Amino acid sequence: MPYNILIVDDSRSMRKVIRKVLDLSGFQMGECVEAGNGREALELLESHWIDLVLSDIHMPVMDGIGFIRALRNNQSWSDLPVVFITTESNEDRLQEAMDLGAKGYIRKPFQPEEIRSLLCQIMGESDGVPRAFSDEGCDF
Amino acid sequence: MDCVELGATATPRKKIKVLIVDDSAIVRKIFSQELSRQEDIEVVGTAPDPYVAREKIVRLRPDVITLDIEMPRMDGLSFLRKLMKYFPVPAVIVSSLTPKNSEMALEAMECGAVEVLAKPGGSYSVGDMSVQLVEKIRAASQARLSPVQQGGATSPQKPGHAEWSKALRTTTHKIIAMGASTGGTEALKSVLTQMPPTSPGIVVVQHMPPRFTTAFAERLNSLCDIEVREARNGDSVLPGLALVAPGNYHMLLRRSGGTYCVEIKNGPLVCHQRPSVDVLFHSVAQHAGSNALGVIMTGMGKDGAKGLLEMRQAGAHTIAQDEASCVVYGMPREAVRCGAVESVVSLGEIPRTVLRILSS
Repeated sequence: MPYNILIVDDSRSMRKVIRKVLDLSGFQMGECVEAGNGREALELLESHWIDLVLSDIHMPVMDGIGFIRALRNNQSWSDLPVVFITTESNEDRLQEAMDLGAKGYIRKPFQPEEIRSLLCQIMGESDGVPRAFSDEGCDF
Repeated sequence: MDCVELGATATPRKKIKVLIVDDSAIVRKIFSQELSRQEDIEVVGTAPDPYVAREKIVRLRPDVITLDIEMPRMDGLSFLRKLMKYFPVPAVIVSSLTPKNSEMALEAMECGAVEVLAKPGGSYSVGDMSVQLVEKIRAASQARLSPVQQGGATSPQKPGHAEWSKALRTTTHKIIAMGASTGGTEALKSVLTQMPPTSPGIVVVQHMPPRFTTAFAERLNSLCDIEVREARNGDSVLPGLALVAPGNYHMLLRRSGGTYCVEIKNGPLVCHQRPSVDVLFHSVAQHAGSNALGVIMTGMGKDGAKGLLEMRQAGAHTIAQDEASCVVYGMPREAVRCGAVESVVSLGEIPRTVLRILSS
């Protein structure tokens, strides 16, 4: 089932990495769009039908916490699944994000299989044999 | 001018492109088979779940979708809300007749779906359903979806209660008859929620399958100041009460001593419909004459036009919903065409117009 994904991160290279990992993971992606912060993400949601969001926590303009709070306050997106991608330095804010209804989190660095397994679980997909995942693995 | 010429050359009518969204393979097969017999309909695809449906809607651009309200992984309502936001397309809701699903189907209409079809069950055969399916797809293909209607955001000025009670003090012998089809559930909601408890008795025909009419009346009852219920045979038509004709039966107005009551009865389809607006309006013309006020609202076809003309000829005031506020401007157009209509007004203006007429 192809899912439309929104990646929110202020680092362009990180967005690229996440997209690449998603590709490798074998999780079935439909449309994939990127935003540099929460504000941009909210704007993108107006015109894109998104099934799943992968978001950084620390970002300029509107951080991940402000973003998920805005989603929960909007009827159109109150149940949109959000997964945070976090580093050690975000740890203190992670609980806050989870309390606001995040579906899960992934710590950097992460493995493709880890991301696939979490996203499949969230979307109620059976985590079968991935299409494009190679055994070699790769850390990001 | 180019547009005119283009329109003129496009006379061979394009087929209505339909996408069937249903998790049951049997339903997808039956629908495809039944629809492929129609010359004006083409099934461009089927989808077993909302995610596949989305992909096919984007790729195949159907004119109408049929949508099962209960599907795995994303319920039909969530899907419909998103669909109306990102890729609005007229949707015919397909639902079983359970009370829970009837309510969901009504909610779907509030989210922007334009028709509801009952799944076969009991005495309601696949053959019966097929006839309805084709009719509803044709009606839906004519529907105009405006963003304003979808949100139900328009809140027309509600006449104050003082204004109403003054106008209606002497009108207990009056009655209001309304008829609607495609888009009618939302249009009737908009009008009836503005009627005050002092309103004359109201009789309503909305083309809808049985049981859905029950849920519809219950829903309106929870939203309106007046009482709304599905009509039972012999119910009196009283001020502050609206009676909704039950699906699969005709409703007729009858006189009983000094008051009016309704008769609920079986009978052949009239204008392909049961309940039929014409049947109700005809009986209203006969029994209430100039004490009645008739309103014909959004819907495909011509049901109600003839009956409204009879009402007008019997001295009743007659109103038609205008083209701009109709989801499908069919029944009101026919009524206007045959000279049955006195005033053409927008949906938001119907309550005020009724008030003005009743107080004059």
